Amino acid sequence: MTVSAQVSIQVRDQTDSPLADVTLVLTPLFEFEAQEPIDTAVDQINEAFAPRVNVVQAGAAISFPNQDQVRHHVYSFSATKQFDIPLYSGTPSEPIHFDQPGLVVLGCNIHDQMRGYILVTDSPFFGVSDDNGNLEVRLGQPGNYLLSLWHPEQEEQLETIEIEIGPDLEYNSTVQVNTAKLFLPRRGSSSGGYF
Amino acid sequence: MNFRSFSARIALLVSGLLTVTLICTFFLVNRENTNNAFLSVAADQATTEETFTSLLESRTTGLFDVVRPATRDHAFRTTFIDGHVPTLESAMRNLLSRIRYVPADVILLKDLNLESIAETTPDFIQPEQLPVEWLTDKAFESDEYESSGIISTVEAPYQLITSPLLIPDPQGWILVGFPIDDQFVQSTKEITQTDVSIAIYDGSWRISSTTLNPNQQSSFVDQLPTMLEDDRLSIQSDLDGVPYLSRLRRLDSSSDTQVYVGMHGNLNQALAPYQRLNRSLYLIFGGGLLLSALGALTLARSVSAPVKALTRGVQSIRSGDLSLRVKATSSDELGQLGGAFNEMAEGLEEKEITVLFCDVRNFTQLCESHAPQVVLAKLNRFFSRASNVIEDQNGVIDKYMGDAVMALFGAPVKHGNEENRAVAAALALRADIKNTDRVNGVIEEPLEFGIGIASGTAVVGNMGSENRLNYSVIGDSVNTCARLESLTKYYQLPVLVNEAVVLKADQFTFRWVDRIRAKGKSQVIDIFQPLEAGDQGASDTLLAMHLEAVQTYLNADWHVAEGLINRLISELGALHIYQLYLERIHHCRDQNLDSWDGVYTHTKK
Repeated sequence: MTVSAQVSIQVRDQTDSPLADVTLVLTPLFEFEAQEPIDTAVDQINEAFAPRVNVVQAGAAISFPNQDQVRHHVYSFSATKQFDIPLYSGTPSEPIHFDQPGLVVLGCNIHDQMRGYILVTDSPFFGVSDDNGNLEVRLGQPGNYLLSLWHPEQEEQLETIEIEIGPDLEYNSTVQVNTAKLFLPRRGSSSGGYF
Repeated sequence: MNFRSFSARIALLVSGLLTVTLICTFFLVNRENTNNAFLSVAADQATTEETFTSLLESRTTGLFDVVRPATRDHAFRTTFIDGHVPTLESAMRNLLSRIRYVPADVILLKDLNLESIAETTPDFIQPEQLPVEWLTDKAFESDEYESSGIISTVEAPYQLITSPLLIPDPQGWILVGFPIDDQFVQSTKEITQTDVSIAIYDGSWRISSTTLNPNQQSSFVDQLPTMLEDDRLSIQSDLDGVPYLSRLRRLDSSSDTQVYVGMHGNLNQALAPYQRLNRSLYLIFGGGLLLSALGALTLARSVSAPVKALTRGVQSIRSGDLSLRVKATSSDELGQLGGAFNEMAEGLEEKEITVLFCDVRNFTQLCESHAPQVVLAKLNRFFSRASNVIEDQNGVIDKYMGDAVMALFGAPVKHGNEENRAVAAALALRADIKNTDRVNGVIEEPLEFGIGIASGTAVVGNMGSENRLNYSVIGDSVNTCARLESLTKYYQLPVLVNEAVVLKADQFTFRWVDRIRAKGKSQVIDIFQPLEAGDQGASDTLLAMHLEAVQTYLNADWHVAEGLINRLISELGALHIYQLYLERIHHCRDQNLDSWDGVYTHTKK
């Protein structure tokens, strides 16, 4: 398995500024070898989730280390995974397992402004754009993939597209993601997505 | 001039002017007051509007302050996710019970598709019929996904707030509301003292709450459509017979309904203090008018009284009473006028004076036979000599009148011995003319002239108009003097004097000339001739003879008189007066007159 493909995307918003926190998930449209999900951690630093936007493969366990002096009460009422870790400091002893694909919105009962996102996906191929709007995903093998992008403040549901990645080929693209203050689907519009 | 009407005119003028001023003042004050009343009502309405708005805002803010934490409350979130409606509704009622100072009684929980999840409302509200979509639409436009606005219900309009349920992303809406009802408008009125109404249009106009009475309320509803067409901020309207100023403010409500708050300022109430002021003004104006009329009358009288007194004074002077004086106590112009009048009257006092009248004889013939320059030169020489002689005797030339000179002795300054000095002047003038009438060494034919002298009382002083005052003399003695002068020609004597002169001029000898009644006069006077020094007739014997002749003549003893006169003629020559006596004697004897009284009446001047 020496063949590798890579998808590079540069994300900009409607003002042509680099956009961070855009998730990219590439779902193979062919049979692929399952991989072990990788566990990760979502820290709380300065009363904010860090990173704010995360993608994990279903089955991964996430710990929530509190780096602040104050305590936090992290919760999720999302259908994908409901949990809450009552007031704690330091790292809670048990990580949380995310088995269902979907979106988990994290909140803190103490701090209204704290909001974090965990996208749980079946695919092992995913990434999140950095502050420069750059996003890179290494793929195990070429083939057809379903490419889906998401951003917590996206103005509208982003299109999912099918792409074909050939051997030794790289997929480079620039994508514009329009953002709004806070995504809130209007009544009547298809709520879709991860809600 | 009628002084009564003069006072009345001044009083009328002052009162009239004052009335005009007062009417103008009253008009202006009234207009200003009415404007002020309107302005103050309008200002009250602005305050009421502000009060109403801030009451609405503070209640709205109060609602948000309670609802916002609830939408972020963990227990509430848990309950919402749990989805047990009775528990949710109980939680919502619990939330309402926390809102102490806002009488909120509507709470609705909707999902993002505005499907009802739970609600707590009064019975008259059908929750599913409330048009909440425009509120959530509005919320989308705001930063916080919050909004507030008014929806109408059958009872009262409701102020609803919309807040998103954040878990932590929006999962639904919570809407909480309170009624804008009687209690609300009453609260507004308590603060501002202005009547407030809430009008709703949902097909037709109705008043949901008001502080107006029912009649005014229906009156307001009737006029509402017209008022809404009026662009002005405040509109005058008649609410059940009471003048009001109404201001309308549309409240932010859903598009299927119009909600207005009306603020009604009672103009009568606003005008009441001004009407009190007006009543006071009536009193002040009336009093002022009365006082000023009285004052003007008094002032006019204070002017007309001295003027009347002055008029009386002038009249009395004209009728010869020079003793009258006016009171001149004030220091104003009238006082000065009175003082001047008194001084003039003082100067006009009757005095004992001697008047000398000298007139050139045959002046008309002289003018005919000589060139005017010659006549003028002669006259001027004559007058200058005459004035010299007169002034030598302390006489004063009163005036020149053509070919005549009038001189006064004893006025303006009394020197004493006036009669002697007048006679001396007359005789000196006679002598002077005889001796020195020569020009360039050539003896000129002397001017013939006659002199009359009379003593008596006369008014002397400054006379004439204000602009031209002349010191002069008026009196019977002046007239007599003039007559005497003109008689000199008749008697062919140079100088004639009246009896008063004879009685005083003790330095001279006089000869009785005649007892006459001058033309146009009833008074009988004796006239005399002063004898010049060296006159033959001045001897005691001849004077005694003359006296005897005159007495017999006066007694109509014609025979003796005639004898004596003839003897005098033989002594003194045929003097004209003796010939006159003889003619009269003959005449009287021929006519056999019984009525002889010795008086000769002159029929010519």
